[in-house]
Amino acid sequence: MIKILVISDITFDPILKEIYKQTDKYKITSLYFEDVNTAFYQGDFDEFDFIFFHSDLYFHIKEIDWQKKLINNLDSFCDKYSTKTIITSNLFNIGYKFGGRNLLYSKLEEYNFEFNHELEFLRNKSNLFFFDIKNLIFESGLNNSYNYVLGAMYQMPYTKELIIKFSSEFINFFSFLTSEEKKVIVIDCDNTLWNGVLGEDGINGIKCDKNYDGIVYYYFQKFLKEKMHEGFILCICSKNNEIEVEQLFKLDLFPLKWDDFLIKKVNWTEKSENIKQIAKELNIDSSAMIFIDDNPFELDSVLNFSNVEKAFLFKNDFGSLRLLINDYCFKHKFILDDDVDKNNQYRLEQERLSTYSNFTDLDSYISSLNLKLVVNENDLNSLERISQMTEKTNQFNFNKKPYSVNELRLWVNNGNKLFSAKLSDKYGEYGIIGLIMLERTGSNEFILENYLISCRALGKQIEDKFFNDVIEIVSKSQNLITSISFKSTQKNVPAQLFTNKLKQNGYQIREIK
Amino acid sequence: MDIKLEKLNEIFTKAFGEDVDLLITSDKENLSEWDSINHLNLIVELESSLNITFQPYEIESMKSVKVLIDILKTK
Repeated sequence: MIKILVISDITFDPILKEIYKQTDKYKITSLYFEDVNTAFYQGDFDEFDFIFFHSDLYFHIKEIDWQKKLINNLDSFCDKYSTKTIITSNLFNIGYKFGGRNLLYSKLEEYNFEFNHELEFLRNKSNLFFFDIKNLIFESGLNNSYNYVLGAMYQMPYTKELIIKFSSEFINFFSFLTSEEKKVIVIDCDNTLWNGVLGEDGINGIKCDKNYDGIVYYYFQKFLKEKMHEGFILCICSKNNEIEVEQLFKLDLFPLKWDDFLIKKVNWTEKSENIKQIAKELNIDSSAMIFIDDNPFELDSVLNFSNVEKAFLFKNDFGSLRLLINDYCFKHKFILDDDVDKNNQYRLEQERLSTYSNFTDLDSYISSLNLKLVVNENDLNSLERISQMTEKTNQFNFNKKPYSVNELRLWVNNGNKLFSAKLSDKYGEYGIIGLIMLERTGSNEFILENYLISCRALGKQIEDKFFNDVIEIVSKSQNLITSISFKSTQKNVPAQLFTNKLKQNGYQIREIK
Repeated sequence: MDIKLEKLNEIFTKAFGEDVDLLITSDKENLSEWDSINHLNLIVELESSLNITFQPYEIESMKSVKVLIDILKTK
């Protein structure tokens, strides 16, 4: 059960009631404070996983000094409770935190708030998240969202409409914080990337510009482009003739270019088959994909015949576009430099593979890459990337268990060890791609609690190298690894094969059920 | 507006989140679920399902079903 503490300057009870109607996953305790700023130094926060501060800025008008005080309080609170996840919910203009919550719309509002730049302070707090209800109010309108009479009498200034929206947003937000992120967006072409059917309307009949019949598609492409820069991988899956689609893109009429799509499946095969193929080529599971199509039939078949969990029906209106781009599946918990570079890395990988065909055997190919592996011990500056790996890696993962940045910090503070590996070759940097977690069981004894390598780096025989490097570092300081934890899942076959090898070398494998 | 006790019972049940057996004689004293937090929930529910708004003095005086029905008659 996930334990959440809500501290707010409104009566939170009606919202809690709505949340409990929809889910019983969370145990929420709510406390009312007339001034949220006074709550930071009171009470015991230890038993909660999440601490949620909500202060309403439209009903209780706050002075700029109060807002600055709040920022300072959050700043020190995040450091003090570095093992907790802290959420602040205000009406700040905070469009870009975690994957730019609706970049498109918040840009429109960027004129406001004198103290906006003060928030920059808080951007590097890895345990702080922003919960934004400004958009909910924006959707309903201020008059439909606020009830000033009840606000004055009961400190509950929201209407039923906003209460319901708030509670669903709250649930979506927490399920986003506690689940895996998506990686790939697979998009249909006709009536999704543009208005019109290429095969019937011809190139001149295609609309994707700022005119009335193309504008939704234009902004959708802009949105996808933003997501690409944030590290999502874009792929096309369309029933069309590839040459025609390529020609259309080469006319340079759209925000997106032909090469922005990493994999293009433009053919007449079933889409669920194409999706499986894309997953295979990218070396990921299709549950990490988002599928967008204008045809409900295709949506159904993809949802039924592949592991895709998230699919959107594309419609030519701003309301549905807004709903789509506001969905949490398009967000990252953090945007790391690694993410921004990821598209580039997958491209390099394709380049590597194309040279591979020139070699007759794997070994000489690998030695031609000039691989360089650097192992770091307890690298606290890279915890965000490491946390991301524990969440995203499936195939070579001994013990699939997502760790938050805070849990990792705690891990190191408790005397355990954390080894991360950075890889580069003659084509460029891979970034951090491997992790070994050692748990201390005695003064000189450790259990290998987890070993994982990102799928980008698999197939280059670095699994042995990283493992041996760590063993060398450990035994240099007279430490010993007594056993190795392993939990088999449907997805981690490559890791299973590796443990078999370790078994033969005399290591004791401890199976986790 | 004239409102039936049946309809009110439905709104009370929704607002309190538990089954309520509403009588015309029910009031804040004899209905144990009707505490101050649920009073707030009740107002929110009444306003949204009947599409009306209350004045502060109406919210304060609304301590029994009878008074509530009288107030609703003026809406």
